[in-house]
Amino acid sequence: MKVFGDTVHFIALLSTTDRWHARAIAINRQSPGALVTTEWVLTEVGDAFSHPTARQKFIRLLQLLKLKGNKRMWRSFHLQVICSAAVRTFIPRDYKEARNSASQVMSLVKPRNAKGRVILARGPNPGSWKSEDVRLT
Amino acid sequence: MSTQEIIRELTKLDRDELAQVDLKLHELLEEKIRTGGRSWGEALLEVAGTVAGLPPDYAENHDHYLHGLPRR
Repeated sequence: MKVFGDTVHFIALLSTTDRWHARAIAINRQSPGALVTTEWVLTEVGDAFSHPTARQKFIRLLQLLKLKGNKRMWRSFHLQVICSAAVRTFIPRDYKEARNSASQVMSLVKPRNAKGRVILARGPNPGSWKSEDVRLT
Repeated sequence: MSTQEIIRELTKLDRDELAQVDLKLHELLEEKIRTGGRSWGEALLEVAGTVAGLPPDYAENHDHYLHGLPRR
């Protein structure tokens, strides 16, 4: 099974004061499947940890993902590819959600062939979380 | 043959041959990861909890903090 690492998960994992931090750690300890994410999600995570005191932690996260990632992740998701072939290759989750910034718009784009489970997503009610199956074919 | 000798030999290959080597290398790396390396979850635990001072709802409401949307 593939699992999708979304912005919520990476933020909760790094931020020690986050209310979902323990949940993110538990997920990581399980490593429930092959991790999939996109550069757009990582762009938003970089936005979240852009403060000088947090930046090095984000860079280390990238290094670890790169060590663990396969070549598809690191070669298929370049911004140049997205811009020229976005319509063919990618579909948005929900453009209505994205109204304010480029990194948010980008983070909402998922690979068309993504199947599996979003490991940590926001639930229907404030404060609630869920794991969410995704099938975007 | 040492690692450096192998790398030097690679410069003699053409593009198609390098692509084949590239494919094989990634197959081998993925196999190593599956059989002996740390999982991605274990690897990422290295950075878990390393950033302090952020709001407790930062993950849930990152759209608010990063993009100015209303809190959920």
